[in-house]
Amino acid sequence: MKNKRLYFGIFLIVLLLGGLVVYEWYGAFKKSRLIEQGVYPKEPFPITPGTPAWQVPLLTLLSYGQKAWLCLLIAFLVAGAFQTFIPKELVIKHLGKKSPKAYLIAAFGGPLLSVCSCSIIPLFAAIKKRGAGLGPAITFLLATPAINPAAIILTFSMLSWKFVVGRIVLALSAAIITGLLVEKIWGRYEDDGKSELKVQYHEKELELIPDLKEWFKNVWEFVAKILPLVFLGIFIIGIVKIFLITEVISRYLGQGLLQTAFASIIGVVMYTPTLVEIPFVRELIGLGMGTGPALAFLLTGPALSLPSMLGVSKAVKWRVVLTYASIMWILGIIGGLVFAHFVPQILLV
Amino acid sequence: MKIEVLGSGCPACQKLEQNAKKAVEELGLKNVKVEHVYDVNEMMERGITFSPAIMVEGEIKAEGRIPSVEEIKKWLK
Repeated sequence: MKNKRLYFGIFLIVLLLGGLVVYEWYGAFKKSRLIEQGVYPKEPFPITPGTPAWQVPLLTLLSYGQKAWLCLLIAFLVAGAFQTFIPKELVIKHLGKKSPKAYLIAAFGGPLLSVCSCSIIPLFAAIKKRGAGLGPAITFLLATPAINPAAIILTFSMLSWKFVVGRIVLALSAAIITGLLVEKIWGRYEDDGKSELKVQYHEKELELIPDLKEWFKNVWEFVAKILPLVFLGIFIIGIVKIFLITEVISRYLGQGLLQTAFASIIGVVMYTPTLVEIPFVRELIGLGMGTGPALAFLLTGPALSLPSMLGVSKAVKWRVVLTYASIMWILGIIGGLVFAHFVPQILLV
Repeated sequence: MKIEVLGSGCPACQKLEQNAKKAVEELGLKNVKVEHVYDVNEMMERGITFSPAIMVEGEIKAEGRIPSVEEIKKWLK
């Protein structure tokens, strides 16, 4: 069979995801049964008003480590499986020609690549110049880091499935709308009209032992690259938490239009390493952040940052960068308001 | 011999440049130059899609990942 390797990868990913969903639901079910009986699960690393300030970041880190280690492990295993078994050419191949379908492929295919926002800039330039053109390239640039398998798994486990649905639907539509608008505004100025994008497609045979080895190697690379950033991020959140009071958070990041606009612009400017956005939002919701601002931040945070815009400005003019950043800011606000309409309140366990 | 590291200036690309320099140093190669290409269009012309990438004698050896010092050494022998 020709695509044995790809199918094996898909089977592996489904198996891992299924295991996680069953485990999480079983845990949630058990917890709600206990709460019904009046037994509240004990927090192993409690932070009370009496806790000395220097212990707060440490306890925050420990509490996340204890809650999230399994889901982080599965997230990394899945991300590694994507990278090992899903050939990148499969996606890129379809972004080689100008067509309306390219927007959809850019939006849905980007997340399959599961690479970080700075390493896709050359591919962005290639799609823009040689391939499907400016619009799909922008869609690809925004969709790829916004939704990756690891982030979805962590969102499911640490926030809620409602955020997963909100994130996927709104981030993909925002990426497609921004791509279409940017193409409409600047497309004819940026058209290079060059030849088609050539992609070599090497189909690999399934060789179980070397493939599994490569999978573990990729998983390890992800862990080594991302995990220190995640821990550092959580630690910093723990420090910031000492200084934030519920009243301040509810005033500036509670439910509302201005608050959503504020959260959205923070997401556009601030550099958020992938996965860190999730504990960040979780902590802020605990302190009174509204669901609208939370989703607005999840939409713009991972997709945009000043460093990535600087990188992209090497491939397109600054006016294009500013256009897509502003459109994403506005779409972040709209997305946040839409989400707040459907999910006005959320209780995180 | 010429080694080229291609990257958009991200931390991963800097790390790859360090690894390449270390590999050259450990092998004691004097006439090997390590160059860093930052130009995105140049990368595209060469058919590179993911950064960081490394080319030895004009041939793409790896892209989208950071090869270890040991791995780079193998390509230089």
